[in-house]
Amino acid sequence: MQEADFYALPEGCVTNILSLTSPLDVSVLSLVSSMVKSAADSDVIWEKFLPSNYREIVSTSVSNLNLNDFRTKKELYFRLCDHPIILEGGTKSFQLEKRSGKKCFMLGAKELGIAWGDTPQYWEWKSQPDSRFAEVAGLRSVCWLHIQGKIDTQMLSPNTNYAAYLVFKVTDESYGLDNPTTEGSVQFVLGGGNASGYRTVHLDYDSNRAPHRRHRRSSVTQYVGQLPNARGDGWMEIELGEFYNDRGEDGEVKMTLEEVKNGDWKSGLIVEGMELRPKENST
Amino acid sequence: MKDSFNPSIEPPKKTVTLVSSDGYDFEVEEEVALESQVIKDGFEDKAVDDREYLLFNVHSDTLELIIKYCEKHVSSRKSISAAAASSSSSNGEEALKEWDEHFISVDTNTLYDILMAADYLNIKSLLDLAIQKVADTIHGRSPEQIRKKFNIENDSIIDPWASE
Repeated sequence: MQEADFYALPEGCVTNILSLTSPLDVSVLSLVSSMVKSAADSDVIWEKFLPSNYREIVSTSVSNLNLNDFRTKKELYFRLCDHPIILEGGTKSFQLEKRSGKKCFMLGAKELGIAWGDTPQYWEWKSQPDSRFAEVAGLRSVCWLHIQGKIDTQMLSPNTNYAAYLVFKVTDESYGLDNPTTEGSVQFVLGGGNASGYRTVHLDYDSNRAPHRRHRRSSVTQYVGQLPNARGDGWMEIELGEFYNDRGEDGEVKMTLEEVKNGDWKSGLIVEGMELRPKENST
Repeated sequence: MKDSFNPSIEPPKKTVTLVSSDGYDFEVEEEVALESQVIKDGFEDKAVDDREYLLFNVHSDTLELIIKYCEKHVSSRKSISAAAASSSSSNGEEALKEWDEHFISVDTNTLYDILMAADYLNIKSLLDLAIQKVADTIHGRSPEQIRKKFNIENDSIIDPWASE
């Protein structure tokens, strides 16, 4: 038999093969050879990696984004990965996850239900130069801390495990935020489904000072729960929970950050929003 | 002795001859050959004694595999629908999937040949199987690994660190 030749494969087959791989795989393929590159860069492939309703999403964006400005679908794909676009109303942002092309959303603080959020004595609204949104919420002080976001699972990519994150900062003058009764949760509004439920979150965890501040013989009980991470855009994030979006038919998901059990005064939290993005299944 | 009707003897099955590119004849049952959409199209118009197909693009080694695949699928379909009719439980679909996976686990050259033949003969389920296999093989590999696996020459990508 003769030596197999990738280039001899019918064009339609090559397109089908590439669209069954992932955006990451196709990006790798474009480095294989110039002929493979031309197949791997084709609009047919990258259009398949864009969400089916990308035109609709982009058209409702208030970011200045014109589909005609993009020479290729690949260019558009990476634009949507690298820079979130702000959706209508200016309180939500949309983005693609680079490796998989799945949908990510951030609900801005204005889109969240914040207990006492409208009372200036407790919360203030301000603009922050490093935020994608016009306004973020700054916690002056409350005892009852309760922040909730909701999203319709139909907006998200199906058959995908998502995690929800609170995107925030803690000011130098903060207090009361390291209470162990601070909880994050993710649940389906109608119950059921596959969601992680409640967990303890440590908003004010500082890796430098934590080990010195608490002296306990048994290290086991220290910081059981979720810890924050730096995002690389100046903000911190903490995972509130995760859920599996089956076919988008489970209705709404609610994501909550709360500390209502202890009731101490808390201050110094700045909330940019809550982000939903795909997460490799951890369980 | 009286002639009696013996139900266990079936009428002879109708067959079709497939001729490979290197000149080998394969006699297969009609329903097996009809798995190919290309053969199926216009099959009825052909005279019964002229049911011979010259497959210029399919080597005998590959044709043997293709026939094996089609025979398996025809017989599995029958047993699956028989099980469904008698409403007895069957794991036929699962077993066939497993068989497919095993069937398509071949070296790259053979995989290419199967893919090309399935495309040429238009056997959709086999084409899908081969395409998925190639996609799975690409998944998670580096450019160099892909070149090696699929015999692709790096024709052009200029190495930015090469000396001027």
